[in-house]
Amino acid sequence: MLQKIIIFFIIFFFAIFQYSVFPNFFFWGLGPNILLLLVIFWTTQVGFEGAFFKNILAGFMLDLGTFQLVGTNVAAFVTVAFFISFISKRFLVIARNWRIFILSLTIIFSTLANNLFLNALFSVANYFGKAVASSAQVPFFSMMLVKEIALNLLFFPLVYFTMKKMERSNLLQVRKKIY
Amino acid sequence: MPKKYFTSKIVKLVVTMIICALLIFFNPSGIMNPVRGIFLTVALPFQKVFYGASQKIGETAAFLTSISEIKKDNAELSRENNSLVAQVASLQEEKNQNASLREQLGLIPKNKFSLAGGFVIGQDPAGSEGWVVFDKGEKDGISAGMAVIVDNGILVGKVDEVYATSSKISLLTNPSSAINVTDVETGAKGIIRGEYGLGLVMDMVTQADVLNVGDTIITSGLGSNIPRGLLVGKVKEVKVSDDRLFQKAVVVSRVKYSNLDTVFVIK
Repeated sequence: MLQKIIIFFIIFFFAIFQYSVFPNFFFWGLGPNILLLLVIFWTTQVGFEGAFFKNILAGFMLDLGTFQLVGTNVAAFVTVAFFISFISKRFLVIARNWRIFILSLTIIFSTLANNLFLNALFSVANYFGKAVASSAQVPFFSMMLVKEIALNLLFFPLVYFTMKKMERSNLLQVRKKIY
Repeated sequence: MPKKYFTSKIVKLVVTMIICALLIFFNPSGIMNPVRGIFLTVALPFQKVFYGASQKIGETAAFLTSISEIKKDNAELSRENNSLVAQVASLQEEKNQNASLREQLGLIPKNKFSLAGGFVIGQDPAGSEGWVVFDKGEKDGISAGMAVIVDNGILVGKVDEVYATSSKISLLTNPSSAINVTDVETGAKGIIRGEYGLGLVMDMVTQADVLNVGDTIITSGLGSNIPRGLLVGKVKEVKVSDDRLFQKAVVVSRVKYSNLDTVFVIK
Protein backbone atom coordinates (compact mmCIF):
# COMPACT_ATOMS: atom_id res chain seq x y z
CA MET A 1 0.00 0.00 0.00
CA LEU A 2 2.83 2.39 0.88
CA GLN A 3 4.44 1.61 -2.48
CA LYS A 4 1.27 2.64 -4.30
CA ILE A 5 1.01 5.89 -2.35
CA ILE A 6 4.65 6.74 -3.13
CA ILE A 7 4.14 6.01 -6.82
CA PHE A 8 0.98 8.15 -6.84
CA PHE A 9 2.85 11.11 -5.38
CA ILE A 10 5.82 10.65 -7.72
CA ILE A 11 3.47 10.85 -10.71
CA PHE A 12 1.53 13.76 -9.16
CA PHE A 13 4.64 15.87 -8.58
CA PHE A 14 6.18 14.99 -11.93
CA ALA A 15 2.95 16.19 -13.59
CA ILE A 16 3.08 19.50 -11.69
CA PHE A 17 6.73 19.94 -12.59
CA GLN A 18 5.96 19.37 -16.25
CA TYR A 19 3.52 22.26 -16.61
CA SER A 20 4.33 24.55 -13.67
CA VAL A 21 8.12 24.45 -13.43
CA PHE A 22 9.85 23.47 -16.65
CA PRO A 23 8.21 26.10 -18.93
CA ASN A 24 9.93 28.77 -16.78
CA PHE A 25 13.40 27.30 -17.17
CA PHE A 26 13.59 26.97 -20.90
CA PHE A 27 13.30 30.04 -23.07
CA TRP A 28 11.58 27.91 -25.70
CA GLY A 29 8.67 27.57 -23.28
CA LEU A 30 8.95 23.85 -23.86
CA GLY A 31 10.22 21.42 -21.25
CA PRO A 32 11.06 17.71 -21.23
CA ASN A 33 8.15 15.30 -21.14
CA ILE A 34 9.16 13.75 -17.83
CA LEU A 35 6.00 11.71 -17.51
CA LEU A 36 6.85 10.06 -20.83
CA LEU A 37 10.34 9.42 -19.44
CA LEU A 38 8.76 7.76 -16.38
CA VAL A 39 6.68 5.60 -18.72
CA ILE A 40 9.85 4.58 -20.57
CA PHE A 41 11.69 3.85 -17.32
CA TRP A 42 8.95 1.70 -15.82
CA THR A 43 8.22 -0.16 -19.04
CA THR A 44 11.89 -1.02 -19.65
CA GLN A 45 12.23 -2.17 -16.03
CA VAL A 46 9.11 -4.25 -15.52
CA GLY A 47 7.51 -4.60 -18.94
CA PHE A 48 4.15 -3.47 -20.33
CA GLU A 49 1.93 -5.31 -17.87
CA GLY A 50 3.98 -4.47 -14.80
CA ALA A 51 3.85 -0.75 -15.61
CA PHE A 52 0.31 -0.76 -17.07
CA PHE A 53 -1.57 0.99 -14.27
CA LYS A 54 1.28 3.42 -13.57
CA ASN A 55 1.27 4.45 -17.23
CA ILE A 56 -2.50 4.98 -17.14
CA LEU A 57 -2.21 7.09 -13.99
CA ALA A 58 0.58 9.18 -15.55
CA GLY A 59 -1.50 9.84 -18.67
CA PHE A 60 -4.59 10.56 -16.57
CA MET A 61 -2.81 13.17 -14.42
CA LEU A 62 -1.28 14.83 -17.46
CA ASP A 63 -4.71 15.04 -19.11
CA LEU A 64 -6.24 16.59 -16.00
CA GLY A 65 -3.46 19.14 -15.50
CA THR A 66 -3.09 20.23 -19.13
CA PHE A 67 -6.85 20.52 -19.82
CA GLN A 68 -6.80 17.81 -22.49
CA LEU A 69 -9.81 15.52 -22.81
CA VAL A 70 -9.22 12.66 -20.38
CA GLY A 71 -7.99 9.67 -22.32
CA THR A 72 -5.75 11.58 -24.73
CA ASN A 73 -2.42 11.08 -23.02
CA VAL A 74 -3.58 7.81 -21.42
CA ALA A 75 -4.00 6.32 -24.89
CA ALA A 76 -0.69 7.82 -26.08
CA PHE A 77 1.33 6.52 -23.11
CA VAL A 78 -0.18 3.04 -23.19
CA THR A 79 0.47 2.76 -26.93
CA VAL A 80 4.06 3.96 -26.58
CA ALA A 81 4.61 1.56 -23.65
CA PHE A 82 3.27 -1.33 -25.73
CA PHE A 83 5.79 -0.71 -28.50
CA ILE A 84 8.65 -0.03 -26.07
CA SER A 85 8.07 -3.35 -24.32
CA PHE A 86 8.08 -5.09 -27.68
CA ILE A 87 11.41 -3.49 -28.63
CA SER A 88 13.13 -3.59 -25.23
CA LYS A 89 12.25 -7.23 -24.70
CA ARG A 90 14.28 -8.12 -27.77
CA PHE A 91 17.10 -5.61 -27.81
CA LEU A 92 17.92 -4.83 -24.18
CA VAL A 93 18.47 -8.51 -23.50
CA ILE A 94 20.45 -9.38 -26.59
CA ALA A 95 22.72 -6.34 -26.55
CA ARG A 96 23.55 -5.63 -22.93
CA ASN A 97 26.77 -3.78 -23.84
CA TRP A 98 24.82 -1.40 -26.03
CA ARG A 99 22.29 -0.53 -23.32
CA ILE A 100 22.85 3.23 -23.35
CA PHE A 101 22.62 3.41 -27.12
CA ILE A 102 19.46 1.28 -27.17
CA LEU A 103 17.89 3.38 -24.41
CA SER A 104 18.66 6.59 -26.32
CA LEU A 105 17.02 5.16 -29.43
CA THR A 106 14.06 4.12 -27.29
CA ILE A 107 13.68 7.67 -25.99
CA ILE A 108 13.86 9.14 -29.50
CA PHE A 109 11.39 6.61 -30.83
CA SER A 110 9.02 7.12 -27.87
CA THR A 111 9.01 10.90 -28.24
CA LEU A 112 8.32 10.62 -31.97
CA ALA A 113 5.65 7.97 -31.42
CA ASN A 114 3.96 9.99 -28.66
CA ASN A 115 3.87 13.11 -30.80
CA LEU A 116 2.73 11.21 -33.91
CA PHE A 117 -0.04 9.47 -31.96
CA LEU A 118 -1.33 12.75 -30.53
CA ASN A 119 -1.20 14.51 -33.90
CA ALA A 120 -3.07 11.62 -35.52
CA LEU A 121 -5.66 11.63 -32.73
CA PHE A 122 -6.25 15.36 -33.06
CA SER A 123 -6.51 15.11 -36.86
CA VAL A 124 -9.12 12.34 -36.61
CA ALA A 125 -11.04 14.18 -33.92
CA ASN A 126 -10.98 17.47 -35.85
CA TYR A 127 -12.22 15.62 -38.95
CA PHE A 128 -15.28 14.63 -36.95
CA GLY A 129 -15.65 18.18 -35.72
CA LYS A 130 -14.56 17.35 -32.20
CA ALA A 131 -12.38 19.90 -30.43
CA VAL A 132 -10.05 17.45 -28.72
CA ALA A 133 -6.95 19.58 -28.34
CA SER A 134 -7.21 22.39 -25.87
CA SER A 135 -4.00 23.91 -27.16
CA ALA A 136 -2.07 24.09 -30.39
CA GLN A 137 -0.54 20.74 -31.15
CA VAL A 138 3.15 20.93 -32.05
CA PRO A 139 3.41 20.01 -35.75
CA PHE A 140 5.13 16.68 -36.29
CA PHE A 141 7.88 17.99 -38.58
CA SER A 142 9.13 20.99 -36.63
CA MET A 143 12.11 22.25 -34.64
CA MET A 144 10.01 22.07 -31.48
CA LEU A 145 9.88 18.28 -31.80
CA VAL A 146 13.67 18.16 -32.22
CA LYS A 147 14.05 20.29 -29.10
CA GLU A 148 11.67 18.02 -27.19
CA ILE A 149 13.73 14.96 -28.19
CA ALA A 150 16.95 16.70 -27.11
CA LEU A 151 15.44 17.67 -23.75
CA ASN A 152 14.09 14.15 -23.17
CA LEU A 153 17.53 12.66 -23.89
CA LEU A 154 19.10 15.16 -21.51
CA PHE A 155 16.66 14.53 -18.68
CA PHE A 156 16.31 10.77 -18.90
CA PRO A 157 19.49 10.08 -16.88
CA LEU A 158 18.11 12.35 -14.14
CA VAL A 159 14.82 10.45 -14.05
CA TYR A 160 16.59 7.09 -14.32
CA PHE A 161 19.06 7.67 -11.49
CA THR A 162 16.46 9.31 -9.23
CA MET A 163 14.18 6.30 -9.55
CA LYS A 164 17.11 3.89 -9.12
CA LYS A 165 18.17 5.75 -5.97
CA MET A 166 14.65 5.40 -4.59
CA GLU A 167 14.77 1.69 -5.39
CA ARG A 168 18.06 1.25 -3.57
CA SER A 169 16.76 3.12 -0.53
CA ASN A 170 13.82 0.68 -0.53
CA LEU A 171 11.25 3.44 -1.04
CA LEU A 172 10.36 1.74 -4.29
CA GLN A 173 10.66 -1.92 -5.00
CA VAL A 174 10.58 -2.57 -8.71
CA ARG A 175 9.88 -6.15 -9.58
CA LYS A 176 12.31 -7.08 -12.33
CA LYS A 177 10.69 -8.99 -15.14
CA ILE A 178 12.81 -11.88 -16.31
CA TYR A 179 12.74 -11.91 -20.08
CA MET B 1 -0.53 -25.97 -30.04
CA PRO B 2 -2.44 -23.06 -31.68
CA LYS B 3 -0.71 -19.67 -31.43
CA LYS B 4 -2.34 -17.46 -28.85
CA TYR B 5 -3.23 -14.17 -30.57
CA PHE B 6 -5.19 -12.53 -27.80
CA THR B 7 -2.49 -12.31 -25.16
CA SER B 8 -3.17 -10.45 -21.95
CA LYS B 9 -0.99 -7.61 -23.25
CA ILE B 10 -3.00 -7.11 -26.41
CA VAL B 11 -6.32 -7.41 -24.59
CA LYS B 12 -5.26 -4.70 -22.13
CA LEU B 13 -4.11 -2.44 -24.97
CA VAL B 14 -7.33 -2.88 -26.94
CA VAL B 15 -9.60 -2.37 -23.92
CA THR B 16 -7.67 0.76 -22.92
CA MET B 17 -7.93 2.17 -26.46
CA ILE B 18 -11.68 1.52 -26.57
CA ILE B 19 -12.29 3.20 -23.22
CA CYS B 20 -10.09 6.18 -24.17
CA ALA B 21 -11.84 6.52 -27.55
CA LEU B 22 -15.22 6.55 -25.79
CA LEU B 23 -14.02 9.19 -23.33
CA ILE B 24 -12.53 11.36 -26.08
CA PHE B 25 -15.14 11.12 -28.83
CA PHE B 26 -18.24 10.75 -26.75
CA ASN B 27 -17.29 12.95 -23.85
CA PRO B 28 -20.79 13.68 -22.53
CA SER B 29 -20.82 17.30 -21.38
CA GLY B 30 -17.43 17.13 -19.74
CA ILE B 31 -18.04 14.14 -17.48
CA MET B 32 -14.51 14.45 -16.11
CA ASN B 33 -14.79 18.14 -15.22
CA PRO B 34 -15.61 17.49 -11.53
CA VAL B 35 -12.55 15.21 -11.31
CA ARG B 36 -10.41 17.87 -12.99
CA GLY B 37 -11.80 20.45 -10.55
CA ILE B 38 -10.76 18.33 -7.58
CA PHE B 39 -7.31 17.70 -9.09
CA LEU B 40 -6.75 21.42 -9.71
CA THR B 41 -7.93 22.32 -6.20
CA VAL B 42 -5.50 19.82 -4.66
CA ALA B 43 -2.66 20.86 -6.98
CA LEU B 44 -3.22 24.62 -6.54
CA PRO B 45 -0.98 25.23 -3.49
CA PHE B 46 1.85 23.16 -4.99
CA GLN B 47 1.53 24.91 -8.34
CA LYS B 48 1.67 28.34 -6.70
CA VAL B 49 4.86 27.48 -4.83
CA PHE B 50 6.62 25.67 -7.66
CA TYR B 51 5.65 28.14 -10.39
CA GLY B 52 6.65 31.16 -8.32
CA ALA B 53 9.97 29.65 -7.28
CA SER B 54 10.83 28.46 -10.77
CA GLN B 55 9.97 31.83 -12.26
CA LYS B 56 12.34 33.59 -9.87
CA ILE B 57 15.11 31.10 -10.66
CA GLY B 58 14.44 31.39 -14.38
CA GLU B 59 14.55 35.19 -14.24
CA THR B 60 17.82 35.14 -12.29
CA ALA B 61 19.36 32.79 -14.82
CA ALA B 62 18.12 34.95 -17.70
CA PHE B 63 19.54 38.05 -15.98
CA LEU B 64 22.96 36.47 -15.52
CA THR B 65 23.16 35.49 -19.15
CA SER B 66 22.15 38.93 -20.36
CA ILE B 67 24.52 41.12 -18.32
CA SER B 68 26.53 42.05 -21.40
CA GLU B 69 23.46 43.45 -23.08
CA ILE B 70 22.40 45.52 -20.08
CA LYS B 71 25.01 48.26 -20.57
CA LYS B 72 24.01 48.70 -24.19
CA ASP B 73 20.32 48.73 -23.28
CA ASN B 74 20.99 51.29 -20.54
CA ALA B 75 22.55 53.80 -22.92
CA GLU B 76 19.74 53.35 -25.40
CA LEU B 77 17.10 53.77 -22.71
CA SER B 78 18.69 56.98 -21.46
CA ARG B 79 18.45 58.51 -24.93
CA GLU B 80 14.86 57.34 -25.29
CA ASN B 81 13.97 58.75 -21.88
CA ASN B 82 15.18 62.21 -22.81
CA SER B 83 13.03 62.34 -25.91
CA LEU B 84 10.04 60.98 -24.01
CA VAL B 85 10.18 63.78 -21.44
CA ALA B 86 9.62 66.25 -24.24
CA GLN B 87 6.72 64.25 -25.63
CA VAL B 88 4.94 64.05 -22.26
CA ALA B 89 4.34 67.73 -22.24
CA SER B 90 2.54 67.69 -25.60
CA LEU B 91 0.58 64.54 -24.70
CA GLN B 92 -1.12 66.23 -21.77
CA GLU B 93 -3.32 68.15 -24.20
CA GLU B 94 -4.16 64.96 -26.09
CA LYS B 95 -5.12 63.27 -22.83
CA ASN B 96 -7.75 65.91 -22.19
CA GLN B 97 -9.13 65.53 -25.70
CA ASN B 98 -9.17 61.74 -25.29
CA ALA B 99 -11.27 61.92 -22.13
CA SER B 100 -13.78 64.11 -23.89
CA LEU B 101 -13.98 61.83 -26.93
CA ARG B 102 -14.34 58.67 -24.81
CA GLU B 103 -17.28 60.29 -23.07
CA GLN B 104 -18.86 61.13 -26.40
CA LEU B 105 -18.35 57.62 -27.85
CA GLY B 106 -19.53 55.87 -24.69
CA LEU B 107 -16.27 53.99 -24.08
CA ILE B 108 -15.70 52.60 -20.62
CA PRO B 109 -12.78 54.41 -18.98
CA LYS B 110 -10.03 51.93 -18.22
CA ASN B 111 -9.86 52.80 -14.55
CA LYS B 112 -13.54 51.94 -14.14
CA PHE B 113 -13.15 48.23 -14.92
CA SER B 114 -13.92 45.87 -12.09
CA LEU B 115 -10.76 43.79 -11.99
CA ALA B 116 -9.85 40.54 -10.26
CA GLY B 117 -6.08 40.19 -10.05
CA GLY B 118 -4.17 36.98 -9.59
CA PHE B 119 -1.11 34.97 -10.51
CA VAL B 120 -0.31 32.63 -13.33
CA ILE B 121 0.54 29.21 -11.83
CA GLY B 122 1.01 27.00 -14.85
CA GLN B 123 1.25 27.10 -18.61
CA ASP B 124 1.07 24.93 -21.69
CA PRO B 125 4.01 22.50 -21.47
CA ALA B 126 4.01 22.02 -25.24
CA GLY B 127 5.55 25.48 -25.60
CA SER B 128 2.84 26.74 -27.94
CA GLU B 129 1.81 29.62 -25.58
CA GLY B 130 -1.79 28.43 -25.96
CA TRP B 131 -3.01 28.73 -22.38
CA VAL B 132 -2.07 29.49 -18.81
CA VAL B 133 -3.59 28.56 -15.44
CA PHE B 134 -4.86 31.38 -13.24
CA ASP B 135 -5.18 31.00 -9.46
CA LYS B 136 -8.72 32.39 -9.21
CA GLY B 137 -11.94 30.50 -9.98
CA GLU B 138 -15.69 30.36 -9.44
CA LYS B 139 -15.34 31.24 -5.77
CA ASP B 140 -13.74 34.54 -6.80
CA GLY B 141 -16.52 35.46 -9.23
CA ILE B 142 -14.70 34.38 -12.39
CA SER B 143 -16.76 33.04 -15.28
CA ALA B 144 -16.00 31.82 -18.79
CA GLY B 145 -15.65 34.46 -21.52
CA MET B 146 -14.25 37.23 -19.31
CA ALA B 147 -11.41 39.28 -20.78
CA VAL B 148 -7.93 39.00 -19.28
CA ILE B 149 -5.48 41.90 -19.35
CA VAL B 150 -2.12 42.80 -17.93
CA ASP B 151 -1.88 45.84 -15.69
CA ASN B 152 -1.42 48.43 -18.41
CA GLY B 153 -4.61 47.49 -20.24
CA ILE B 154 -3.23 45.10 -22.86
CA LEU B 155 -5.52 42.19 -23.71
CA VAL B 156 -3.78 38.82 -23.39
CA GLY B 157 -6.68 36.38 -23.63
CA LYS B 158 -9.98 35.30 -22.18
CA VAL B 159 -11.18 32.87 -19.54
CA ASP B 160 -11.89 29.53 -21.18
CA GLU B 161 -12.68 27.06 -18.39
CA VAL B 162 -13.49 27.81 -14.76
CA TYR B 163 -13.15 25.54 -11.75
CA ALA B 164 -13.70 26.17 -8.06
CA THR B 165 -10.29 27.72 -7.27
CA SER B 166 -8.54 28.10 -10.62
CA SER B 167 -9.26 28.87 -14.26
CA LYS B 168 -7.79 28.18 -17.62
CA ILE B 169 -7.06 31.30 -19.67
CA SER B 170 -6.91 30.85 -23.43
CA LEU B 171 -4.30 33.29 -24.73
CA LEU B 172 -4.64 35.35 -27.90
CA THR B 173 -1.87 33.19 -29.42
CA ASN B 174 -4.09 30.09 -29.15
CA PRO B 175 -5.27 29.07 -32.66
CA SER B 176 -8.78 28.48 -31.32
CA SER B 177 -8.98 32.07 -30.03
CA ALA B 178 -10.87 34.65 -32.14
CA ILE B 179 -11.45 38.22 -30.94
CA ASN B 180 -13.04 41.05 -32.93
CA VAL B 181 -10.64 43.96 -33.33
CA THR B 182 -10.31 47.25 -35.15
CA ASP B 183 -7.46 49.40 -36.46
CA VAL B 184 -7.38 52.67 -34.50
CA GLU B 185 -5.85 54.71 -37.34
CA THR B 186 -7.95 53.46 -40.28
CA GLY B 187 -11.01 51.84 -38.71
CA ALA B 188 -10.40 48.52 -40.49
CA LYS B 189 -12.19 45.65 -38.77
CA GLY B 190 -11.02 42.08 -38.48
CA ILE B 191 -10.53 39.09 -36.20
CA ILE B 192 -7.39 38.39 -34.19
CA ARG B 193 -6.35 34.76 -34.19
CA GLY B 194 -3.35 32.89 -32.92
CA GLU B 195 -1.27 31.19 -35.58
CA TYR B 196 1.47 28.70 -34.79
CA GLY B 197 4.86 30.21 -35.56
CA LEU B 198 3.51 33.70 -36.30
CA GLY B 199 1.94 34.70 -33.02
CA LEU B 200 -1.04 36.96 -33.68
CA VAL B 201 -2.72 37.40 -37.05
CA MET B 202 -5.50 39.88 -37.82
CA ASP B 203 -7.60 38.08 -40.38
CA MET B 204 -10.83 38.62 -42.38
CA VAL B 205 -10.03 42.26 -43.19
CA THR B 206 -11.77 43.25 -46.41
CA GLN B 207 -9.72 44.44 -49.37
CA ALA B 208 -11.51 47.79 -49.19
CA ASP B 209 -10.09 48.51 -45.74
CA VAL B 210 -6.63 49.94 -45.20
CA LEU B 211 -3.97 48.41 -42.97
CA ASN B 212 -0.59 50.06 -42.48
CA VAL B 213 2.54 48.81 -40.77
CA GLY B 214 2.71 50.42 -37.33
CA ASP B 215 -1.06 50.81 -36.89
CA THR B 216 -2.48 50.18 -33.44
CA ILE B 217 -4.97 47.34 -33.06
CA ILE B 218 -7.58 47.42 -30.28
CA THR B 219 -10.63 45.33 -29.41
CA SER B 220 -13.81 46.46 -31.13
CA GLY B 221 -16.20 45.16 -28.46
CA LEU B 222 -18.33 43.33 -31.03
CA GLY B 223 -19.88 39.93 -30.45
CA SER B 224 -18.46 39.04 -27.03
CA ASN B 225 -18.07 40.38 -23.51
CA ILE B 226 -14.64 41.74 -24.30
CA PRO B 227 -14.94 45.52 -23.86
CA ARG B 228 -13.94 47.91 -26.62
CA GLY B 229 -10.67 49.77 -26.50
CA LEU B 230 -8.27 47.18 -25.04
CA LEU B 231 -4.89 47.27 -26.73
CA VAL B 232 -3.91 44.14 -28.66
CA GLY B 233 -0.73 45.17 -30.48
CA LYS B 234 0.76 46.88 -33.51
CA VAL B 235 0.75 45.81 -37.15
CA LYS B 236 4.12 44.41 -38.21
CA GLU B 237 3.34 43.09 -41.69
CA VAL B 238 0.39 43.15 -44.08
CA LYS B 239 -0.38 40.26 -46.46
CA VAL B 240 -3.15 38.99 -48.69
CA SER B 241 -4.95 35.89 -47.44
CA ASP B 242 -4.44 32.58 -49.29
CA ASP B 243 -7.83 32.82 -51.02
CA ARG B 244 -7.06 36.46 -52.01
CA LEU B 245 -10.48 37.61 -50.76
CA PHE B 246 -9.21 39.27 -47.62
CA GLN B 247 -6.16 40.94 -46.17
CA LYS B 248 -4.38 39.82 -43.10
CA ALA B 249 -1.79 41.39 -40.85
CA VAL B 250 0.78 39.99 -38.46
CA VAL B 251 0.29 41.81 -35.16
CA VAL B 252 2.97 42.11 -32.53
CA SER B 253 2.01 42.45 -28.89
CA ARG B 254 4.16 44.14 -26.28
CA VAL B 255 3.49 41.22 -23.97
CA LYS B 256 5.71 38.14 -23.84
CA TYR B 257 3.14 35.41 -23.26
CA SER B 258 5.59 32.88 -21.85
CA ASN B 259 6.56 35.34 -19.08
CA LEU B 260 3.13 36.19 -17.72
CA ASP B 261 3.15 36.60 -13.97
CA THR B 262 0.26 38.77 -12.73
CA VAL B 263 -2.89 39.16 -14.81
CA PHE B 264 -6.30 40.78 -14.27
CA VAL B 265 -9.72 39.49 -15.25
CA ILE B 266 -12.31 42.09 -16.21
CA LYS B 267 -15.49 41.11 -14.38
